[in-house]
Amino acid sequence: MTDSDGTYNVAKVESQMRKGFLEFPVLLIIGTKPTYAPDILKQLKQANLLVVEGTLYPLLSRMKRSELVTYVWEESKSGPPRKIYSLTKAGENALELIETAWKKLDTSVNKLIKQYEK
Amino acid sequence: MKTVINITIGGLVFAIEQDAYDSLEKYIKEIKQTLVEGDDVNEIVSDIETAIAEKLSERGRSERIAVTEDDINKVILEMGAPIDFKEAGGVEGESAQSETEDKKDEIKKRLYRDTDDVVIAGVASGIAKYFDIDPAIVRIIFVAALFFNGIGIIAYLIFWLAVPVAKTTTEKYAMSGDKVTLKEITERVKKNINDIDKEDLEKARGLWNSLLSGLKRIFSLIGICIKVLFSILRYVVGFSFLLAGSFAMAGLVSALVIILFVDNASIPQSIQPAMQLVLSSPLGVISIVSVFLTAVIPFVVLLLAGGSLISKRIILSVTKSITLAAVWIVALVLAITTSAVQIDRVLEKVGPINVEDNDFMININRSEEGIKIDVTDKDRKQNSKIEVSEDVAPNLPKIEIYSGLSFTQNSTVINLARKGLEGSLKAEVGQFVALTELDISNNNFTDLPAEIGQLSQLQVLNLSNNNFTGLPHELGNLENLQVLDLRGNNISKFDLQIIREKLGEEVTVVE
Repeated sequence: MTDSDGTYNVAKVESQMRKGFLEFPVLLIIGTKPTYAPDILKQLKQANLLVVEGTLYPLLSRMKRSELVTYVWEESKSGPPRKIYSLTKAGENALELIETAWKKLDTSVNKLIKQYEK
Repeated sequence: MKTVINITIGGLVFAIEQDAYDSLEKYIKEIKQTLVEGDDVNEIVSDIETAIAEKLSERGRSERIAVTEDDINKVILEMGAPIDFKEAGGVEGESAQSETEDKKDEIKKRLYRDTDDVVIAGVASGIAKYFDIDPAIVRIIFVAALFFNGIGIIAYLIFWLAVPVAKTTTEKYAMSGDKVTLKEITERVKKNINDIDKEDLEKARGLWNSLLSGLKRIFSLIGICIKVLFSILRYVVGFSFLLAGSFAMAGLVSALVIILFVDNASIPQSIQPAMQLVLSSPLGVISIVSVFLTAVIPFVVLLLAGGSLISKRIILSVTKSITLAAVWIVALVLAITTSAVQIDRVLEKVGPINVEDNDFMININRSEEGIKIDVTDKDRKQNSKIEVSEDVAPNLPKIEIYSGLSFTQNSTVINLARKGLEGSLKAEVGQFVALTELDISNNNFTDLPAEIGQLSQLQVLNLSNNNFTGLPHELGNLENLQVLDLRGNNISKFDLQIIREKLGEEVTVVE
């Protein structure tokens, strides 16, 4: 997290933090309801979780390859057919595990934050 | 005026200006270069193209309204630079890389002490992580090994000194790392042996440092030993306090309950009459309760202290302790003042108190100076005497009956037997109006003062074995006299006859 000139780049830390766990919110969105990429992006933007849109596509591809998600093609009235992503059984399991891990992490970090803010 | 090219992006047809096309093409190419994921690159790129196509059509661009370079720049800004993709994809790149590395060369597992799961120094938990078993098993083995000439302790100390603490996350991870095969261990040992040859010089230099750190570890070990000892001591002392306090309290409380509320069948026969006498007056009950409180409060404090030691927090609050102390002081004062009177009463009405059991004997009696308590330890044949002077009952005036011998005015029994006294008692003897028994036997008295006749309550007068030749007439005034012992004196038969006549037939005169 240190730039070439040796200073600590806070913005970069923040973006790294978001990128690092983007997988989890994406799984959450897809898990809620089968969604296509632009809608995933929209929700991520609303949640203020996305750094740049481009990151999503390699991520989706990777998750597809690890068989966490799958997609079906769906005809669109305006334009080309869309990929509608949904969770596989493995994806659901992974999401559950990540959720637990996240809650744990959240508790620990919050504890530290509270301790710091005191 | 610009050249326009017709292209399809994501299945849609767009008219795009030449420079915009160049930028877009460059952008796609860069993405393709940054992504190194084999087969999936095409899919990702086509997904991205579809997304771009949707963005452009959202902006109203089509085959009729051309896409400008400005449009492309805005789209690229939204999509992000390929370098950002790489960072996000980098996670994958790294993991892909480490996957292959893992297969070849798994993360080296190392033995560390686990300070996150500590009983003494984290040795057992570290070993447990290394072999991927439950720490409890290792701990049980260590404790079990204690019984084989203390091997457990020695092994533990060696591990403590030799095994470093896992401080960094990597070290902590390496604790449980991945499975280590026997082959790997032997290889590592071989490698270490080779390293030792090469690094002899460096080792020598590092020796001082390791010596220092070893010393440090020894000191911290000693410190922890002391800490452990202290906590053991804390438990032992706390527990014995608890035990002593609760037993003593249970004993005292049951004694009190028995004395106050239960028939005194459980009380030793020898003190039953005394107990009944004490319980007959409200002051006596107060005396018993105050003695009980004086005795029980220190044990309450002991109990609470034990509890505080074990629970590591002070159970007794300041207000509570002040209250306890105040109650104790009041009880103590009450106990001293009231029980002196009670004991005196018992001695007067019931007689000497004798408490006896297998080990010791307590005898409480009155003496010239006040209350005398004899405690005899039967084992040691020791006899310690506690003389309670009558100062404990300060309000009662004392009167000198013979030079140097004083008694409280309300005394009912005065015993001056075998004191080697001579001459006469003082005239003040007449002031002991409550006196029922006067024993001055076995002395060298020759006279009695006339005031002896004022002792209207006197029942027993023992004058035996003195040098009396005669007695005052006033003896005839002793209305309640029952026994007059005159043995061993020089009183003539004639005088005796007169005395008998004066006293009447109710009085037994012993000659």
